[in-house]
Amino acid sequence: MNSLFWERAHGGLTHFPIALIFAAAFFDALAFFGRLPTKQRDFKAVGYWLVILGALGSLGAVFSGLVLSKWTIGGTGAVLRHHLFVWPAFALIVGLAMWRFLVGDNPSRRAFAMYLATMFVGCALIGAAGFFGGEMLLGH
Amino acid sequence: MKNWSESKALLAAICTSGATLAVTLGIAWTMRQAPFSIWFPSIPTSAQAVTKPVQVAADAAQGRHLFLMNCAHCHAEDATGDEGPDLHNLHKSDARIHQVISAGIKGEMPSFGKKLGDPEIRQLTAYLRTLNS
Repeated sequence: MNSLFWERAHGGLTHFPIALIFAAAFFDALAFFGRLPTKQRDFKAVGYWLVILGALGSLGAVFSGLVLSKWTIGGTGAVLRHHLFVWPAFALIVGLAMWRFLVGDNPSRRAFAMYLATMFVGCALIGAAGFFGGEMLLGH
Repeated sequence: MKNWSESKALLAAICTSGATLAVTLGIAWTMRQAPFSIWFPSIPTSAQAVTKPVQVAADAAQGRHLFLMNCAHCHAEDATGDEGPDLHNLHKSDARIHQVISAGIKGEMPSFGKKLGDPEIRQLTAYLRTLNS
């Protein structure tokens, strides 16, 4: 396994949690703002599974990224900028998924609103981490 | 789906999040301190250990010459960047550098695959590695 393998593996694996977490936030927002109770329940269930799968997927993305960077936690330049957003995003996503798993499918509206707001913060962090990751890949 | 109270679940989530991050960073730190990399096998034999630095230095010297001939026009003679980017402290694998030199970057950097062979690109890469601080 050479570094090109890990570069490709990381490139592939990162897109799963990114897509899953963004989709989870989207469906949870639909559940929160939706009006039909049946639809709300369905959207909430979709958001529940997506955030859990996204958190599981983030483990693979982080592992492949660490191997690719030869276990660099911080780094310099674009790597550092990438990592400054990756670590908070990773911690946040794991925490959100755990909370959602433990609370189950029927949190109070106030708690769900807080969860949703935190999900959007997580999405912003993931987006920034992905942006700086892309910057590295594109050669600058 | 379990049904914990929300505040209890929040506490558990914070603990899990913190523990996951701590374990991940701890593993990374430990692996970083390891004397060799199990993911990028490069443990030299005793003969290679003696000859490799000499070979790398020779490659880098030749790479410097190739750089001035082919790359300095855009990246500046000291590789700090001009039309092209600064090439100091590149966080890219050798394979990736090889690929970029060989194939170029569409709309940004020409391909050198036809002009430079694998040994020349390896020498260029060895030179670029000397630019790490």
